Order: sequence, then C-alpha cells, then structure tokens
Amino acid sequence: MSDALLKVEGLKKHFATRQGGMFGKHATVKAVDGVSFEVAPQESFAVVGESGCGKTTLGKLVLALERPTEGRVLFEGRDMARVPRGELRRLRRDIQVIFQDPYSSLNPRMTVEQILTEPWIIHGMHKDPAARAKVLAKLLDDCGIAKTYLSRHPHEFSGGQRQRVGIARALALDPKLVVADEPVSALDVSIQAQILNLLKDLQRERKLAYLFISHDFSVVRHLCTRIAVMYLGRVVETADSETLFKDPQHPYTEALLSAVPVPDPSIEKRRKRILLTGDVPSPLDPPSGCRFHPRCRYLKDACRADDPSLAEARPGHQAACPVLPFKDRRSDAALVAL
Amino acid sequence: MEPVLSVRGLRTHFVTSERTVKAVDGISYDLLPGKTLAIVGESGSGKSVHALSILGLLPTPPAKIVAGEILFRGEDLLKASPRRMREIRGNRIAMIFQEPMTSLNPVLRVGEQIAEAIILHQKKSKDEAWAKSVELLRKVGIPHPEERVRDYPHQFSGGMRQRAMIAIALSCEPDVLIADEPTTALDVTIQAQILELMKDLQRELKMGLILITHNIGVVAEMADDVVVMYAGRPVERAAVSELFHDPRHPYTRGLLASVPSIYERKERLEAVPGQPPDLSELLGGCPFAPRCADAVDRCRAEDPPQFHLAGGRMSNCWLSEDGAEERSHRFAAGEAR
Repeated sequence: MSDALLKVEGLKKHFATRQGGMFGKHATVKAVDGVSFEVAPQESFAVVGESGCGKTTLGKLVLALERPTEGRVLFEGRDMARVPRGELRRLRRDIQVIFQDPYSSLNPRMTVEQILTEPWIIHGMHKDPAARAKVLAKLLDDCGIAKTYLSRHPHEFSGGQRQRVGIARALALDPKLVVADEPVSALDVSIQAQILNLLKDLQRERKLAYLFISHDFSVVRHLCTRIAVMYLGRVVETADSETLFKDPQHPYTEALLSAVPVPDPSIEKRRKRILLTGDVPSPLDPPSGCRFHPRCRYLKDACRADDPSLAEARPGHQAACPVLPFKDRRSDAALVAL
Repeated sequence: MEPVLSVRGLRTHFVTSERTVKAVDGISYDLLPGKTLAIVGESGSGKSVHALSILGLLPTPPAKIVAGEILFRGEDLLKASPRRMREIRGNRIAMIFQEPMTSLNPVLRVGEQIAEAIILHQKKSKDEAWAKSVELLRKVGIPHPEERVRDYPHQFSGGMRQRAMIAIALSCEPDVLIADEPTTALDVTIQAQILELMKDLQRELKMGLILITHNIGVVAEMADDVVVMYAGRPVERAAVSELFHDPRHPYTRGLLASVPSIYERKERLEAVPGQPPDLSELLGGCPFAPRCADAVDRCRAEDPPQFHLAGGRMSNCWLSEDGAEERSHRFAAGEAR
C-alpha cells in the first residue's frame, strides 16, 4: 500500500522514570514498543486495548505531540518528526484530534463561536467574514449544533453537546485524518449512539480517515473497518473488522472478545467466557518472550523465550503468537465468536 | 420465597430554597435471596440516590425521603433508629462503589480496613479479625494474601482494589449486596473476573444482589430481574429475558436499540434523540415524552401511572394501557403492589 495516508513504521516511545519514587533506581517505561501499521485515505482504523497498553501514547505520536524514541510516522510520505516547524503546522491542518473528555478539552472562557473559529485564525483561513459565516453555518449544521449555541460557553451544555462542539472544532480545518481518542466513552449510551452515527455520517460526507483509539470492541465494530489490538506497547493482532470478530487468532484477542458482555441474555447464557488470570503486567518490567505468556491458556515452553513478531495468518490478517497456527483452538474460538 | 428486601414507592427528593429535584420518584421492587436485580439507567436517572436511600447515607437536608417503605426482612428501614441502621449497614446490607480508589482509605493497610468491618459487627478480637482478613482476601482471589494484607491501597491494581472492596463488603456475609457500577472503572478482562467472582460469592452466600449499572451487556449477563430508570422514575420492570426480547416502554426500546454489540454490525444505531430532562424543571406529562417517537397528546398532558402487566411486569407508559393483554388495576404510583 504505497498510497497510505498514514504510515507508522517500527514506532517506539520510551519514557525514563524511577522505580519506587523520587530516589528509586532508573527505569524505562516502554509505552509503545515497535508498532507498525498503515491507514488508507477515508479508512476507519481502530487501535483497541486495555488501559496501559500504549494506545493513547500512540495517538500522541501520530499527532506529533510526542517525539518517537525510534521509528517513523509518515503522513502522506513525510516524516512528522523531521519536517521543519512551518511545514509541521501546515501538516497539522490535515491531522486533527477529538479527545475523550468534552469537559476538559474545551476552553471554558471561550464561546462556541470562538472555539470553532480559532483554528481559522491560526491558519489564516476564511478571512472574508461572509465566507466565514457560510463555512461556519455548514459546520454547525453537519455536526448537529444549533446556531443559537454560538454565543454560549461550554459549561452551558451537556456532555453530548460538548462532544459535538469538540468534533466540529476538529473538522473546522477540513482534515484528512482525525485521531479520535475514546470519543464516546464518557457519554451515556443513548447519547453515545447519536455521536457514533454523527461520526459515521461525517466520515462519508467529508471523506475522512479515522484513527480511532478505544477500549470498547462494540463501538469499534460499529465504526471501524480495520482493527489493531494492542497489548503492552505492541500490536498483537491486526485484521479487518469482520475477520477479527469471527476468527480471532491471538489468544489475547480471543479472551478480550469473550470478556465483552453482549446485550442479549439468551446469547449470554450459552456463551463461553475465557477468564484471564491476574492483571496486565507492568510496562516497566514486561515479561520475557511473548508478553502475553503469563496469562495465556495455550502456553508452550517456546512462549517464555521467543518474542514473536506479527506473522500472516491469512492475507490481511496478522497475529503475533509463537504457537500459531494452533488447530486445537479453533473450537473454542468459534464458541467465542458464535 | 420471601423477599429479603422490598422497596415500595420510594421517593427521594432534594429540597432547597430555590427548587425541588425529584431524584427518585416512586420506585418499587422485591429482591429475593440469591437473585440479582439490575437497576439500569443513564447518569442522573436516580440509580445511585435510590441505593444511598436504602442505606440511609444521604445527607438530610437537602435530601428528603418523602414517601415509601424500605422493608428489610419485613422491617421498615425508614423507621429504624440510627443505632439499628448502624447494625444493619455494612453488616446485613453492604455496598460496593464504582471508584475503588476513592472508597478505600489511602493511609490504612488493606487488612486493617477489612478487619475494621469485622470488629465493628462481630465479636472478634483484633487477631481473629486480621486472620479473617487474610482468609477473605484469599477468597476474593488476591494472590499471596498473607503478604498483600499488609499493603496499602495504592499498591493494589484497580481490579485488586475492587476485590478488596468486595472482601470488606462480604466480611459479615450480608443478606443484600448493593453494587453501584462495580466494574465501570475496570478493563473488560478485569470486569469479567470481578463479575464472575460476584456470581460465585452470591451463589455461596445466597445473597440478594442489587446491581446498579448503565452497561446493558452487564445486565444481560448478570440480572434475573431489571428495573429501568429514567429521570428518577422506574419506567419499566421485568424479568431479564422479557425485558430484552419484548420491551414495553419506548425508553427501554430506545436504550436497547442504541447499544452497539460485538455480535452484529448495524449500519446505523437507533439513537434516542434529544437528552434527558432537568429534574428540577419537569413539567406535567411523561418525562420521556419530548424524546419519544410514539408520544401522543395524552403523554404530554398527563403523567402516566405505573401499569401492572402480566407476568409481574410494570410499565410507566400510557401506551402500555392499550397494549396490555391483561391490564390489572390502575393504581397511584407509590402504592404497594
């Protein structure tokens, strides 16, 4: 895929810290530890994982808010860490972000109008007042925001309305890629559905690509066509959405999918759940070999020593598991996927 | 089987000089031993206030329980003395909260916090209580409990803290456990562990469980019966399979349709338009009417009563009146069943 919009290559981000407080010994948190993937124009690509897996850091790296320790982020072929400052600012017009918490990501002292027009002032766009009013009206309309809201401040709105403002701000510059970091997880379900529908409509109308960062498989399935599953700083499996849900290859994906409660009691009754034991290990001291091996139910000796890299399970479907392909697992995986 | 807890027409309002917020407005249900009752609703629907009302944990004023009965094994807790409530709270009726970090004391060892509940409610010495703390931590699945009992809460992960909270709640083998969003702050794999643990312990102790949640998937997995709340009201009550397969209240239908599932990819989710009302500005009529696609003139004008339908179901909707195959007596909300 040479026409990728976003290409992430061997990306690493390590943070220096101290173990056990201020006087502890030096240690390194490998938040992102060798991640590669590509996002095509107008594609919705999801990065899914539990807390601490590095998905948010990955988003920051893509936005060039963090500098990578190693590896590259290429946007339309240009290395985000190497472009001159002026050009980075230009690039940022094309990469925008929607944050999780609409309460803390909007400036409380600005009106909605100020919030939405500030990006244009910064980038010197739509200077003509008449033209600006027109673009603004379209933006409000697309995002389902009433015109009367323009003079109001964020605190006057509910979470769902605030998130609409957050989305409108991200779209003001007509970006090509939107990084959405858990954009609906702070919202109630009925509001969440409104926002998910909105994101879907906007993608179609404005030809956006999404890098959707989430812990919620149900939401991701609804919105995204391709998924990468992260565990302790690594991508352990990547596939198109339908395949991943029907036939997960990595034991972690399998367990994760089986743990998601399904809103249907008759399915819940006959479903088989794979319970992982213990917690996610600390990224300060990740396990040797395969990082998932201490919690894996298919553990083999090789797993403790070999650090697996992504291997093709079928075209377009990769998983990093040393015991792949694993025939005995099929029956269980089928039960999970139903 | 006798219900262990019966709530009858409970109304909890917050009264200030400017306004009255009807946070809980007429909830009724029976909880049987060993069964799980889920209370579902979005934020501000009154789920948590209802739970705090049961335990008498709301500050009065501004909170005021204006009507209803809370019968624990036949005894009305709203009439119980503060002393009697202290005997029951944390002992016969225990509660776990959403935020395991803020509900544990950061400067006390985990073991001391478990032992505290035991010493308070059972005639046990400090040493016995400590030994029992270790036992409880083992029971809730904490590895190396004899060492971890000396840890402080910050040394525990989120899942372990919630396990420790469960250990405290279960230290006196309560008859009723109220779990307020117990897994909302946890990752899905940890959530699965905690739900499994709660099911096992419930089976063992024959506990009645009131599970307060906004997660429809968790309801499907755990509940026997469900109460759906909207704007402080119970809008529908039914057995779990009936609720999911034949929802009667338009809000329940909207709620179920708006949830994405990993089992099917819908082209569009059927979102409920609009947003929940401000509880201090409720006008006449059904509070859901402004968002309801099925609303008729009557819905906007008259407050619907709770209709009792076949199979012990309840629906707080005018449209259930005609649709009910067996319409039982109409009754004023708040009366006993």
